Amino acid sequence: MAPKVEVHEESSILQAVILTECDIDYGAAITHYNPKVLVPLANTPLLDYTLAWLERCGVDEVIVYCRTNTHTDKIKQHCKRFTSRREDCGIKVMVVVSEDCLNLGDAMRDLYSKSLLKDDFILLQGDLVATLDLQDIVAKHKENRLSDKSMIMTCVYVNKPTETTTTAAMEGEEERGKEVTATLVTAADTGKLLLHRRTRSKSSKISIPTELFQASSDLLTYPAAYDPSLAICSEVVPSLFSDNFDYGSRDSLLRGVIEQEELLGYSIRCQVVQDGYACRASTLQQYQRVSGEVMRREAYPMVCESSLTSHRIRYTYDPFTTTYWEPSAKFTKGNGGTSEVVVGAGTEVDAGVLLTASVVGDHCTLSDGVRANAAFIMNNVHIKSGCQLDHCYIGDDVVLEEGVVVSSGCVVGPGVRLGPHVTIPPGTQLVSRPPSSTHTPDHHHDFDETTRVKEADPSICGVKGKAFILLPEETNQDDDDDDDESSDDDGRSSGPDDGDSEDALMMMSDDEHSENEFRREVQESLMNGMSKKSAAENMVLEINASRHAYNVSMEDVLTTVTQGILRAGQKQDGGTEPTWPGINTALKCFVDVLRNYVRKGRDQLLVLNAIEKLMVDSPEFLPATQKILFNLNQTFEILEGEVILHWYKKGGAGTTAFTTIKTSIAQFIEWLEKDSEDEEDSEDEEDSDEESS
Amino acid sequence: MPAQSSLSEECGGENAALLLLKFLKIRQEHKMCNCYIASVEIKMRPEVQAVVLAAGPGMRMTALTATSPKCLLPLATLPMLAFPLHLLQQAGLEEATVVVAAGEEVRVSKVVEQCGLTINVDSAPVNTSTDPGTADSLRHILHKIKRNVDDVVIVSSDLVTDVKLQDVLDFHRAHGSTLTALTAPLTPPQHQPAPGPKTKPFTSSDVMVTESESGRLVLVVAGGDYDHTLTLPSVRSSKAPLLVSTSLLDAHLYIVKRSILEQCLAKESACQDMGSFKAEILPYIVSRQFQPQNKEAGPDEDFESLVSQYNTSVVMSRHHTSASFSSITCYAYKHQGLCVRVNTIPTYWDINRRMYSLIDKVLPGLSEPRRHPSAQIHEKAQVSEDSVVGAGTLVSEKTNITSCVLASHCRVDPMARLSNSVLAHHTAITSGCVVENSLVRASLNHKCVLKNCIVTDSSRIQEGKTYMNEILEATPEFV
Repeated sequence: MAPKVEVHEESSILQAVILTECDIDYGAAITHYNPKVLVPLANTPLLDYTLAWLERCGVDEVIVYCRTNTHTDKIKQHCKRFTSRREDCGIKVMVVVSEDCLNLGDAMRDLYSKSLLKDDFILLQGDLVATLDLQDIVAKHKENRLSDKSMIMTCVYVNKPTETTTTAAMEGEEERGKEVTATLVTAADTGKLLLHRRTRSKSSKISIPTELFQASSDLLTYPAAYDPSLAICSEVVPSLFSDNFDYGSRDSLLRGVIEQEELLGYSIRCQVVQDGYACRASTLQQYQRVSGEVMRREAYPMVCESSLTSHRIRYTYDPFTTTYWEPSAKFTKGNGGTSEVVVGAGTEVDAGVLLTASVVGDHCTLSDGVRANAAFIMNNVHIKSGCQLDHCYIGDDVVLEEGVVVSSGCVVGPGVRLGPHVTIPPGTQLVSRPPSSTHTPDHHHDFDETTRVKEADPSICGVKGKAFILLPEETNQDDDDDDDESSDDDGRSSGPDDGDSEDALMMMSDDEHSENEFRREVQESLMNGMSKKSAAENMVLEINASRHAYNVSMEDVLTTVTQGILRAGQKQDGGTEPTWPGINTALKCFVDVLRNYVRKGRDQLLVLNAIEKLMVDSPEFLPATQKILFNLNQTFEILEGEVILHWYKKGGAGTTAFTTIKTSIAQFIEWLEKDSEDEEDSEDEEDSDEESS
Repeated sequence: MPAQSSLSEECGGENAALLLLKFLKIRQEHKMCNCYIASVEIKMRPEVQAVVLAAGPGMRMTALTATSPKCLLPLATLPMLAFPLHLLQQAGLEEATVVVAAGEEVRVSKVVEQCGLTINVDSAPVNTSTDPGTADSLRHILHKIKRNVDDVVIVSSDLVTDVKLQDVLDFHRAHGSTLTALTAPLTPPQHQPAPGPKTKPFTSSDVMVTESESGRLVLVVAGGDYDHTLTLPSVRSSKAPLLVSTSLLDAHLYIVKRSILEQCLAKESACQDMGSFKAEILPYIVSRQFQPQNKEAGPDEDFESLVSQYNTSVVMSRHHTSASFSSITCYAYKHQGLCVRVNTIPTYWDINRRMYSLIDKVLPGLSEPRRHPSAQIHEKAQVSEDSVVGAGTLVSEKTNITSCVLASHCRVDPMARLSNSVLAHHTAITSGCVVENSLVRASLNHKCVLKNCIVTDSSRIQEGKTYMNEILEATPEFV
């Protein structure tokens, strides 16, 4: 067995795909100047950690996948530098650039069409710092592939038995935790993944569908396994992505494969690794955490003092205080509680500086009295005396005059000048140029919507300062892997990059985005269907296709369809005022479509609520409400009288429009009540049961 | 870890050193080195009391239990009850309280001497006319549980296992467990099909959720008590994966802290209406692990808190500290060997057929010979090696017996042919009978052919007939 596997491995090369457009980035103040994967972590670009690890694990060929933008050349050059250090025997790095890659799914489809992937390959994100034993994982994957042909992918998770990693607690850590952990249910004997769910909160209860027992009598449940977004994929995976255009992220692939197991005949396995280190520096909070862990040598053998590109020892390491410094740095170590610090070449740190858990780049000066805790200072930064930095990121060439206080969660972009004597409120992002001028056509961050600040405001950046506040917005919506994750994933909308500053900002979450798209599509389908007089089945098919593409729940579909039909009636008339005849023709046209979605009493309530919500947005429908309800009740027999009465008594959906609706349909209700006096009570109970169940 | 500060008496003084070594080993294994044994005191006081629940009517094997109480059904030559009693005796217990159906006390107490056991049996009859559940039985004998024992071993009379109860007890104490349940992988019967009509018994299996490494019980749901989804209790700090298992057999052997048992069985308890220990009280205790501190603190606990608050000179004994619900931890002891509950006809059949090879494992030390010396086997009779022949059984010449179990005082007349069959006590097989794969509990007085049959009433047998896949029992309508 063993030699056979070796022969197999020799004959084929092991490939890895690194996605550089990660699902979450650090915010425009950083990524506008430097791609995320080249942001230095402990003075080494993130990508180097990944490359060094893959090289050590015997990966032959790495495909660095990125999108055409201003950073493409930087990444290319960096990869060239990395490989040029090595002889021919070293790892091969290939940079693949795509024009329009929005998510992992697009990347897979693109690589499939370019047929660059030959065999099993490793799929990972560029911000991963890991020391897992990949060879072992890949070997197990291949072994499983041999025994089970239907297995197409091995997802790697890390289960840390003790929660040592969260000792470096920081703000927003709890929320971060949600995104990167997943609840897994696997078959105990094979490790086949049966259920995959993003963990909502730490204390949430896990519910397991009992039908899973049919698949396996013993299930192994991981309540919260850390997900380093690492997977060993077979060549089937890219083809599956290209067959299913609605697969955007790995999560959507997981869901698709698990849900349609009988249809596709594929399965996914999990390997939950106990040993080794793996953590993604996905957000700035995670960046800080990983940085600390690398400094504490948890990612050994990837430690700060040895360069990952050249393997030479570049820093002096003091294990007692966990400090690293370049010999050329003028750095008085032990100057009062310095610990967990990395200081780069040519940097001058005065004796009175208090540094903890921080990284200082090359050629910086830190004057007397500077206090920095968990500050990440890039190159050529000059910080004058009396500055205080806390949990912040300071870009290249920043100058902080005397007495500047940078609060936690701040990002100071490259070239910014601040001070003297200003305090930057928590969670501020500062850039050196006005945000509007930073806009470049081929860049994915869209600054147009940002509130523009033309002149630097001295009240913000100080009299000598030059800085502009960059208001965070939904910039990374497009490159978000989990675009279609939507309906149930609201945890992530609360802070794509910086965590603590978004309270006052209106942000459109992924959900809303996809919902809007879905609404638009349904509306279009309905309009088309009305003009072409399409059959109801075709309409339902079309709507369901949109539903799957945007992963909208059944309830939302019903709401959207109901409102869409009424709006179609309005538009059909041409006028802005909705008239009853128009609505009536629309209803007649789509009654079968609607009926298809209304199955239970609860659905009827949803229809009623949808109508009510429509009134909130467009009160012009109000006069027609009574007729709409009457026809739905009597002519089309979609809504039952009892349900309407129940809904009416419960106060509708509780929106502001209900009071007006109440008066406008009073007549109809009265008529209904008379009609069904005798049955009312019993029906009422049934309805409420249905609603609660 | 107060629960381990002294060694149990039932192992006797001479074993104390041995036990101490065992203890240390267990602690090492479970990384509990931070606690130490303060003193080794050997007290002549039982720490464990055993309760055998033997009043069960055997609802899933009514064809057999119509004539005999379930706990006295013979497995090979011994009554079923002897197996759990022997298990307890092996662990050094000197006494066991056996809950039996009213009217069976005498027969049950005879079991001990019949089988050569030394354990003292205190039978406690319950009135079975009201169909009491296991919890009701326990409530009935609650007054018999001594105030000074720590743990109560509750064992069902139908358990056949080769587990060492001492190991389970050690596990229980080493983990400071409140409740330890014996579990084992569920194995299908080896000998199939069982006699009688073909049935496909559908029993949805229990669900047991344990932490995969420690074996801590997280959730127990009795078979059929779950719907489309199963909700696990909220995740605690530990990230250990949870094993959700439907292939574990709950062996119905529990070691429970007396205080918890008393609380659960008390009149004012939340469990007062619960009838079944396994299906109701066990899930209740397990679920209590993850609930916040109970508000329904009884008067005793109030008193205790007052004592601890104002009288600092009082050091709580372990009996006090274990009295509150606050520190409930339940574990499942996972036994990898044999563990069978004989509660259906297929399992009864299977265990009987396997008894030839199992008897040394499940009854070590109790040398019940496979061929009793008092059995008279005619030299011209062919009796295969893997047959069990009980005391006083008479096998005549020209008989052929292969892979059979003949209990005591059976009589096999000449020219009878038996294969793969089980004969109960005092069964006579008349000459010329052919019995294959059948369970015979009544004498066959007429020449007949039986295949895959269960016979409990000989009057149903007619001369020269062939019966297949039938249950020949006395139907109540005719009586």
